[in-house]
Amino acid sequence: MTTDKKLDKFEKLVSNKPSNFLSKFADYKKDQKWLDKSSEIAVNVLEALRNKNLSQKDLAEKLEISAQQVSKIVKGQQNLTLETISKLETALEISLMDILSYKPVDEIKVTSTQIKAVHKSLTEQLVSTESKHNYSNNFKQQVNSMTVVYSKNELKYSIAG
Amino acid sequence: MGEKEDEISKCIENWFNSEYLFKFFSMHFDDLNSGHYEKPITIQQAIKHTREEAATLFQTLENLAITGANGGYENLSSAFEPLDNNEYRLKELQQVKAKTKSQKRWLRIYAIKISPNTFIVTGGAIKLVEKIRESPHLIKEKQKLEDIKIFLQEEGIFDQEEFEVYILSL
Repeated sequence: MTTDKKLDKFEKLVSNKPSNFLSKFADYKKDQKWLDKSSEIAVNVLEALRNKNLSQKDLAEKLEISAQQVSKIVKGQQNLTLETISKLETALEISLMDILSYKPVDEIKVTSTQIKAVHKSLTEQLVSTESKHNYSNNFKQQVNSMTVVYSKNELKYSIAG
Repeated sequence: MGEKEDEISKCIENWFNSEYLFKFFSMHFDDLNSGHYEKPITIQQAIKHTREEAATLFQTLENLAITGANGGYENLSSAFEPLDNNEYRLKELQQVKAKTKSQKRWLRIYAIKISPNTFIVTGGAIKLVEKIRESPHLIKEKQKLEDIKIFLQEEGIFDQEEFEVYILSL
């Protein structure tokens, strides 16, 4: 086979550019934190578009931005501003971001101590009940993995998942 | 003119692209929840998992490629295993796959092994089923492996030296 033919055949199989795999991966690692958040927002936007039967073009019109910008948003590659997130939330009637309210560390520590005390008391009660009854091994395993879940100012006892 | 991008760069593009993954998992939703990968999982969870798995896989390949190129003990061979699970011997132009060591691992990078630290990547896929023959996009990847192997055989490329001579002759 002549070199020309060889080259032709080779070019059909491969890219004519050197691989930029490493630089692409380096870019991802550099921006990983916000890219991962952007991806989660993108998936929520895509779910909302599907549920509302809207196209990306419809969204671009609602937000008064270009189709290219919407494309970047749904790919999870856009470093979104708070303004754009708010606009997306309004346009799609969804919530994309929750800001946790500020709580001083001391207050968190007190809450944690209270939880530990309740956890200890409930565990003791469970152990004492267990000694009176004959539970299955499966139930015992679940009891061992029990954890206290603190949710909305309410103490709940639940099985760790 | 050939492809715009090499296969491993395409994998990076796709596996970190939420829109691509959303479409893929929507299209393969039944496979995703067929039970092959434990309990049912949402598209959102599947996308998050894919991104995490991809980061691990690419990091492993990068580390091994560098160590291997510098003559270290470990090289890319540590990441790739024979495509056929029943193939235990080294073969000429062996068809191989790379995957992570995590319990739930559905990302695959397919390649032809030239030498311990030289692999020709022919493509990548999200494998949600047990066997390649169960999904058309996996069958396509298998076909690409076959095509590249035939091409290499026709060109008389069977090892590192022949591969380097071929590249220099172009």
